[in-house]
Amino acid sequence: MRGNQMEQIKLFQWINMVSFAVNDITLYLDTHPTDQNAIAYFNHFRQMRTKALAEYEQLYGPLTIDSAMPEDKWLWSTQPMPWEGGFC
Amino acid sequence: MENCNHTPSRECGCNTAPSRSMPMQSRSMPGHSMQSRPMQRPCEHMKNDPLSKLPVAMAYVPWQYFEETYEPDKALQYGTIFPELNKPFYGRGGCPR
Repeated sequence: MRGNQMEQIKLFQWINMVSFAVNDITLYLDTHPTDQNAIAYFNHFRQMRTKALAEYEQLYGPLTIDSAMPEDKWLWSTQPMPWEGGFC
Repeated sequence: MENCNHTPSRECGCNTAPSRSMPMQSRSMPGHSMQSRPMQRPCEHMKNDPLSKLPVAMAYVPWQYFEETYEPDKALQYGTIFPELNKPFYGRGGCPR
């Protein structure tokens, strides 16, 4: 259980890192819309972020409503709240 | 401030933010201030100012090029993905380093 939570925290931290990278390159692209290196950077980290969010959703429940893909249970409201140790 | 290579000069105001205690006579009473204040000599900062040839009152932002980026963990920690934008401000005034 404890190890599981460690993994969850690690994945959550990774999502924060790649989300920040996406956010920051967005600012650069606003002023450099045709910079091919920056576009490649954006595509790379956007993909990493989407993948990490999907993985998180699969294991622990959705962090954002965009990655919520409920099958038999609506985890959005049933997973722990932030003050209960949840992350979203 | 004690680590500054050269102390900001009070005379020219280089590297100093406008101070609230600065005398305002020069604006309201130009004639008087010319008499009461000594002539200001151009200071060393002005001679070495790389922007001195540019028109005043215009703002300039050098163009950024996509070069090196931090790994995602460092980027989040520093608040930027670009090493050239990693500029921690210490709130000690504008000391050139």
